[in-house]
Amino acid sequence: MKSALETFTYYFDAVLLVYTIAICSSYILLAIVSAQALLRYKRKNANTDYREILASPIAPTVSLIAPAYNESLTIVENVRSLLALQYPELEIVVVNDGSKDNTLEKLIENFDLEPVPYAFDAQIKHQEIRNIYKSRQEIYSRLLIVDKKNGGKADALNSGLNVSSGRFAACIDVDCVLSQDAILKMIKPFLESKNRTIAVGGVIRIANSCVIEDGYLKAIHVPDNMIARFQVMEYTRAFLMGRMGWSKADGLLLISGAFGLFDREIAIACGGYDHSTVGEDMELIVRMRRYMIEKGEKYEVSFIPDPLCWTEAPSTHKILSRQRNRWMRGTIETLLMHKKMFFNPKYGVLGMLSYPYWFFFEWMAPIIETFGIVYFLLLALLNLPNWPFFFALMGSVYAFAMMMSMAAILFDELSYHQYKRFKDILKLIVAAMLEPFFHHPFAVWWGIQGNIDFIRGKKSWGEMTRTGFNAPKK
Amino acid sequence: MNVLKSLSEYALANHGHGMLFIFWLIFTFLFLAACFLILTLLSRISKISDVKKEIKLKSIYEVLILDVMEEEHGKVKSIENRSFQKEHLSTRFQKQLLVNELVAVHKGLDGALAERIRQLFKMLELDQFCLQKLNSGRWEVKASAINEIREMQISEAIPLIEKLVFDKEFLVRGNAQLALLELKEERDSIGFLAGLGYALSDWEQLRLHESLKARGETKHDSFQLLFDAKHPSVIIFGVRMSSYFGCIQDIPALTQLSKHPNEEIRYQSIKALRNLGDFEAESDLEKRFESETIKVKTAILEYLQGTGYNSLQLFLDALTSKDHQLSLMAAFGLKRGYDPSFLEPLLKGLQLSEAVHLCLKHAEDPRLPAP
Repeated sequence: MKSALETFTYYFDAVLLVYTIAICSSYILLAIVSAQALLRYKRKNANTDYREILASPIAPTVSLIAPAYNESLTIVENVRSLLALQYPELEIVVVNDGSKDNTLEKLIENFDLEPVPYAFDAQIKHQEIRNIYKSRQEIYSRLLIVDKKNGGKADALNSGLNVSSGRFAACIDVDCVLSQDAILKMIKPFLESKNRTIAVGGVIRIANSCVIEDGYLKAIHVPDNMIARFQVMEYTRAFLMGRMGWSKADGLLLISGAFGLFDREIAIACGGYDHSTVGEDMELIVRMRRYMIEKGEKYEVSFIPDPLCWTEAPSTHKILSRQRNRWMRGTIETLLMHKKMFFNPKYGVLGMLSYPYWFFFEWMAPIIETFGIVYFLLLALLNLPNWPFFFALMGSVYAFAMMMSMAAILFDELSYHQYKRFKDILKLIVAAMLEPFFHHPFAVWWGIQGNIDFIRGKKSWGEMTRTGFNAPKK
Repeated sequence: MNVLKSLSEYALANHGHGMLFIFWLIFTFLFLAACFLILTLLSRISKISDVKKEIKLKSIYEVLILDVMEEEHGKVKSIENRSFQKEHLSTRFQKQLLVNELVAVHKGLDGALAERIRQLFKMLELDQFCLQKLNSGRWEVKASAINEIREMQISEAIPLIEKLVFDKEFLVRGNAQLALLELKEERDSIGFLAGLGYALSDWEQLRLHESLKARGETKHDSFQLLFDAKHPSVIIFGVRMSSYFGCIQDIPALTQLSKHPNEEIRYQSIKALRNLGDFEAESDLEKRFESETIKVKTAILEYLQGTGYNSLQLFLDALTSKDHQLSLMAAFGLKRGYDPSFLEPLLKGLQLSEAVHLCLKHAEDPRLPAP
């Protein structure tokens, strides 16, 4: 019995060691590639005059699609902020996804809307559209409101893709705050690429504690709430040290649903957003990429590091757990839908690197980490652990986490220097030190819950209550 | 270091090489974390100090620029005698800052004032500084130098920039194209684009277009030089420009291009012919309609809008076609090209689907987009 346990321990230790080395090496490698990409992007765009696009009659048309469900409190302010975006040929399509409150009435009243006989090609299936509205006033000529039966976010975005007329479609969360030049910056990769660019993603930043007035970001601060502050660290690592690198390596598998710009023709050609997954943003990108590869067409998916989209992050464990649970289920669903790509050389970097990375280090990470903890507790019960070795290993993991977080703070400082106050940098350093103890264990647990809920067949999004950007400070 | 050494010895003596390795790993990670932290703080301090330096220097440069702009020509010359260059233009940082300032000021000026700024630029030998930057090994330095040279109209740089049009860096190439376009004074200065062996991206086209617009619309009477270009993207650019600048003399060449094997060239040429007000190609386009792709068909329908009753059957056929784009475009053509008193009874006599009726109503509302 003891010999069997020893053999198991020997092999399990070896597996854990290899896994740990692989995950840490991949993080370091991604950080290095991201640094190169970030540097290049900064050099390339340091002197770009985006007003050239603004003044050009040959700039392509962009439709911005914003699904809204029960947003009556903020919808008018949000739409006004979208209407003020800088872009010459911009169409704002707000999809009222069968709201139960008076979202539509507020829109009709404030923007002087009337139903119009709008003919469109329903290439993607979605719930029935009840009416399409345009404003009677010339100043709102960019605005198009779609009122449809409730079908969820993916369904609302699909109806928006069908109805919109732009060559490119920007899909956003209506409650996000976009910087004024967001579309100008996002469109550039489409205009300058050698091959057809099918999608561009941008960095999502956390707006908790920032000063936002009339839909504009006035001052940027690190969140006062510690849970939101931990997420600032996570987002900075994920976007500046992760997605930037994947984009450079041509292996980007996810563009956040909060803000992404797509080639509308390709998005429609591959069927639009999938209703059956809660990870519809990731699934669409994977499907679009597969579509291009299987057609044998050269294409690009880009990512830009400019802080263009600001969102309110969950500030309680209850809401954050729902979000992370959904993210995990979305990841699993997407990976299973496209399992054909797993280590399939036909899909190049996607099949050989990105997919395995997401499989082993996003889906499997919380499972393996939990196995490791259970295994260690068993060993501890049998008084088998080598304690000095255990503490040394824990120390090395903590030191690694610190190194990556400090690198993320440096990336942020060197790239866009978002937090102007020294106080904010100190807050981030403290968050980086505490995160492994007070945030990471919860993140692992929510990942496990996501796996369990996936097995149970849970499909719901989970309610995402937001306090709003203008909530009074305590 | 002694503490580190004793900790290493302790780890090795009591727990072997594995522990020693982990110990060094922890040390390395923490050391790098500390380095990143220090770099962050240093970067912040350096940014603050740079901003202070910039503000101080900019105030000096602003005085100089204002002097030059306000005073007579003699004042510009007197700068040579001052110790200005030694004091305020000795480092690369200072030179670049002044270049940026002068370029920004020059952008907003015209005529004699702009000329004075150019003189000052040359007098301070900043043109030489920019020319040196063209030989830099760093592409971003080259790219910014080209922009500065373009703005300050340093035509001596043309031979150097001509080579950079073929640079492997996208930004260098694009800036070089713009610079050549603006530095070469002759009317056919755009001709060099015809020789490009690579695709002209939408971004490059957009910037070239802006530059052409800035030259003044009357200066462009033809873009035929680009119609035989090596790369289709350059031909497409030429066609679009011909349409934008209303180059009527290009109509015969555009008519030929409307039969080009490349779909996009055909599409753009037909649109250009429509914009230029040409209707000579009407019967030819009608004949070719059936054999064309959907995209080109929409351009033909747009072209045929308002050409008279000859195309009526073609519009009616397109209206009932299975393709939504064609149907909508035909609806636009019918609603905008035919008298309602003639059209309404005709449409009532046809058995049209609900979708077609919706297209016709859509075409009536001026707020709704055409395909």
